[in-house]
Amino acid sequence: MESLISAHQLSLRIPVVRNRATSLRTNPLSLLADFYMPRHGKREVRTLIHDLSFEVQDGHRLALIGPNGAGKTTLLRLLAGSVFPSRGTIITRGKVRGLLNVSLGLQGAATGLENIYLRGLSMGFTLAEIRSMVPEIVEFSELGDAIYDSMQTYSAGMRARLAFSIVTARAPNVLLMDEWISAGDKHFVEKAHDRLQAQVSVCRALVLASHSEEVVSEICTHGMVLKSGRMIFYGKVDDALNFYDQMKPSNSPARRVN
Amino acid sequence: MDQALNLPDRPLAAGKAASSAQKSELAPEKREISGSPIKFFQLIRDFYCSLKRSGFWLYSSWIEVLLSYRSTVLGPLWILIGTLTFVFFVGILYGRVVLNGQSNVYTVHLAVGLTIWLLITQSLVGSCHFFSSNRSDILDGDTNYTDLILKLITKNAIDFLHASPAIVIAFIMAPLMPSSMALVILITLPLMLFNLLWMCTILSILGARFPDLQEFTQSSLRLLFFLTPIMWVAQQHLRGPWVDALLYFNPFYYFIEVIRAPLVYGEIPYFEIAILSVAMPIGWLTACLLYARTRPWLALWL
Repeated sequence: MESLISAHQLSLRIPVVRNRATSLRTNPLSLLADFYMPRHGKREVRTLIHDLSFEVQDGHRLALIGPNGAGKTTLLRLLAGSVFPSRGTIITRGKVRGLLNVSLGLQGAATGLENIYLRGLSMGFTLAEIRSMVPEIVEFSELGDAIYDSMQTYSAGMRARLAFSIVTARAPNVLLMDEWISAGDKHFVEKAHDRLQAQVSVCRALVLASHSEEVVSEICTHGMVLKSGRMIFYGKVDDALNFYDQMKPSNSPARRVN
Repeated sequence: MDQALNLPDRPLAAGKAASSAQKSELAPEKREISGSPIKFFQLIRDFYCSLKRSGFWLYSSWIEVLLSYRSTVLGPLWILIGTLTFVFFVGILYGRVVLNGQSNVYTVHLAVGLTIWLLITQSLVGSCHFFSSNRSDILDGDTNYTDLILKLITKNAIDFLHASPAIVIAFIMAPLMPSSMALVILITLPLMLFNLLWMCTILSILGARFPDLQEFTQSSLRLLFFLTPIMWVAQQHLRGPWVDALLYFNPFYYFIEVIRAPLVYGEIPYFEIAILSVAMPIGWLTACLLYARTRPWLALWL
C-alpha cells in the first residue's frame, strides 16, 4: 500500500523581525525612533519545523496534537503546499484540500451565488462542476432565495452556513483540517457534523489539527504529538493522547473530559 | 520512532457515515514539494498552470470590478467618464498651450497616452502590495502566485477596456481617421502587455519583501507622469540632449509610443519596438530568476 502523504526530513526556517524592547525612561528618543524607523528590529531566523519524517497511509486519519505554537497549523500549510519547506520533501498523492480557513475569499458585497462560484473556482473546480454543486449547496445551507441577495444582508450564522456548505460540497482524497469545523445553530451544527464525518469516511486520508481530545479520539486512527516543531510521539491515537496527557505539567487543568 | 504503523482503521463513531463509506476514487494527481532549490523556469510553469485553470482569476477579477461599482448607477462607465472629462478639459487648454492650437492631434495624443498610462500605473502600484493584501488566499487557499498576478492584470485590463472608448471619441472629436498603420498595434499591444506582466511579477515579489516599494513606486510614477510625453508632445525642434535623455531612459515612453505612434501618427516606431523586444526576454529571465530564488520565501514574508 502506497502512502498518500510522505514527508521526509521536513524543516522550515522562517525569517522574523524582533523588535528591541524599548523603554522611554532609558531612551527618550525611542518614541521618535519607533515612528521614523519602525523596522529597526533585528532580523533572525527561527526554526518552526524540525526534521519531520512521517507517512500517512491510505485509510489513516492522523491527528496533530500539541500545545499552541507547536507547529500544527504550519505543518498543515506545508502539506497544503502554500508554504514551502526549507529542507526536505513532501510527496502527496491524489487531490489534497485544506479546510484551513472556512470563510476564506468570501466577498461581502457579492451575492451568495456569486460567492459559490468565486470560492468554487478558487478551490479548483470547473464551472460545470460548480453548476452541478449549486442546488446541493443552496439546499444544504438552507438559504433558499436568500442566495440571490448580497452577503451583507446575511446574518453571521447564514454566512457561516454558506461557507461551510461550499467548502464541504465535495470530498477530496486527502483532507487537511485545522480544528473540527462547525457552523450555525444547534440544528445545523449536528447536520454539519454528520456531513463532515461522511466526508472523513469518504476521503482516503485525513490530517486534523485539534485541541479537542474527544474529536481526535472519535475521528482519528493515528496521532502525532508536536512540541515546538519537533515530533515527540507518533503512533496509535490513544497512545498519542496518553503521551500528551503525561507530557502536560501536572498543575494545568486536565483537558480530557471523561 | 515507529513511523509506518499498519493499524486497522478505526470504525467511525457515527455508524451511518461509516456504513455508507465508499472511498472516493483516487485522483491521479501527484505532487512533490521540495525544499531544494526551485527550477529556473518555475515561473513559466506556474503561469502555464494558471492559464490552464483560468476560471478563478478571470472570474474573481471580473467580480472585483463588478462589486466596486455595484451600488452606483452608471457602474464602470465612470472609468470612461473620468477619462473623457480629463481628456476634454486638458485637451482644450493644453492643446492651445503645447501646440499653439495648431493641431487637432493633441486630444487624441492625450487620450491614447492617458489610457495606457492608467493601465501601467494601476498595474504597477497594485502589484507592490498585491501579495500581502491577498495573504489569506496564499496561506490558506489553493491560489498560486501567478493566479494573483493574472488577476491583477485582468482587472486592470477590464478597466482599460472601459477607458478606451475615450480614444474613439477623441478621434471623432478631432476629427481624425487612423491610417492603416494602426493595425501595427495588434502586435505592439501584446508586446506592451507581456512587458508589463514581467514588471508586475518582479514588483509583486519585491513588494512582498520590501513594503516601502509601494510608496517609492507611487511617488516615482507621479513624477514620471509629467516626464513621459502624455500631456506634452516631444516635438522635434524642442529636443536636445536633456529631453532625449529623459525620453529614452524612461521605460514607459516606449510602452506608450509603440501604441500611440502607429495609432495616432501613422508611423511604425521601429526603434521603440526593438527596445521592447529586447527588454522582454531580459525582463522575463530576470523575473524567472527572482521567482526561482524567492518562491519558497514569499509566503513567509507576508
